[in-house]
Amino acid sequence: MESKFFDNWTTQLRKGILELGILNVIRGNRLYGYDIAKKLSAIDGLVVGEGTIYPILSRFKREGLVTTTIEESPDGPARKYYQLTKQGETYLALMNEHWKSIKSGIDTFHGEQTS
Amino acid sequence: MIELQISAQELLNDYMGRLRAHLYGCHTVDPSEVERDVQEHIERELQDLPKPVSYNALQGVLTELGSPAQWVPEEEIPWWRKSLVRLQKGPEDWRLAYFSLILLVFGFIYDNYLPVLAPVSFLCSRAALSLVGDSDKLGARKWFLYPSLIAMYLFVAFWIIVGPVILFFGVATQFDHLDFQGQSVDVFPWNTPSKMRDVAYYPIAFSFVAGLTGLYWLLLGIAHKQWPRVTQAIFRPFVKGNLSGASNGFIAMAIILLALGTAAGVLMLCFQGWYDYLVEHGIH
Repeated sequence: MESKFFDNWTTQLRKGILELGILNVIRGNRLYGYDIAKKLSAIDGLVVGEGTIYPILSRFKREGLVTTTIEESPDGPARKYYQLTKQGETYLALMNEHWKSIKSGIDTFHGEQTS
Repeated sequence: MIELQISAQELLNDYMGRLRAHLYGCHTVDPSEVERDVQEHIERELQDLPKPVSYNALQGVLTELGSPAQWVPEEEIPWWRKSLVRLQKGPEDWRLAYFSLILLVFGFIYDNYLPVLAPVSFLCSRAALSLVGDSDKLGARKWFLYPSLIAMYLFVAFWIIVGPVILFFGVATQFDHLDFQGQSVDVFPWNTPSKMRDVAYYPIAFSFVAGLTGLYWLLLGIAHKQWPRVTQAIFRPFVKGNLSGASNGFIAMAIILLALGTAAGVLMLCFQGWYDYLVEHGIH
């Protein structure tokens, strides 16, 4: 029962954070989908399955937050690179601010109780 | 695409099929784009492994990618899919399976309604299969789902493979009184005398039916080899892989039939030429 509660909580928490994580990873870079998946799966507990990021990237593209460019690769098939759009950068700045404020608020409570 | 062992290729086809099934109808993402990204991801993971890549190596990569069922949040799933999930999530996820079999049984009991109940039962079975994704996970539910699938697939396969052949036979039986836009059409070689027509009928009819059937089946076989996914999608979950051996056999049979039909036609024309020669030189 306890475990189910924790699982539900982490699932809900992960959803928004994963989107934030993807946008932050792409910021200032042109990244291949595979590299984005690998960078994020290195964060413990953030990515349940590496495939999760691809529908999110597709949604970001539809919403105009990222663009893609396809380039030939010497190692194999052509690769698709993701890059933030101006709109994506604007939203990311807002999201980071929001996240920082929530995190510092929670940290404040947490700090008060542990000190 | 990276070269895979046959079992690994089947595993990949099944995984991509589940991916498409779970993303289908989801308006926030482009399923074909996600499919391409996932395909690239898999190729990148496997590119340094010895070829053909084994089942276990691919399974490791797919495990890391995770189940496509978990990729889309519930609020992004279309309403009809949610309804199907709810319908299926009854006691032990058996509702759709029960529903499918009951509809089919009623269809056979009240056979006037069979043309309606059988397709609905079939759609329920395909929906249940699509929700489960992997047919190996159906367990005992397959005994409830497979009857309607098999009945419908036999019907469809019969009309795809044999349907046009029946039409060719039908046309062949009308050779004596074919007419086209009010004009009588004579399919016999140009000078066949009336006393020869009964004898000539059978080789001509054979040539016509065998030739067209061979040609049609050859096109079917080539289409299956070229686009095996279409056959897999139509006859899911019974057709897996590209059935290379079976389709080669089918193509070989079609070529033999086409050759026999052509040979019979050519022989008839030679016979006619020979007959004309005899008439022309007053021998006959």
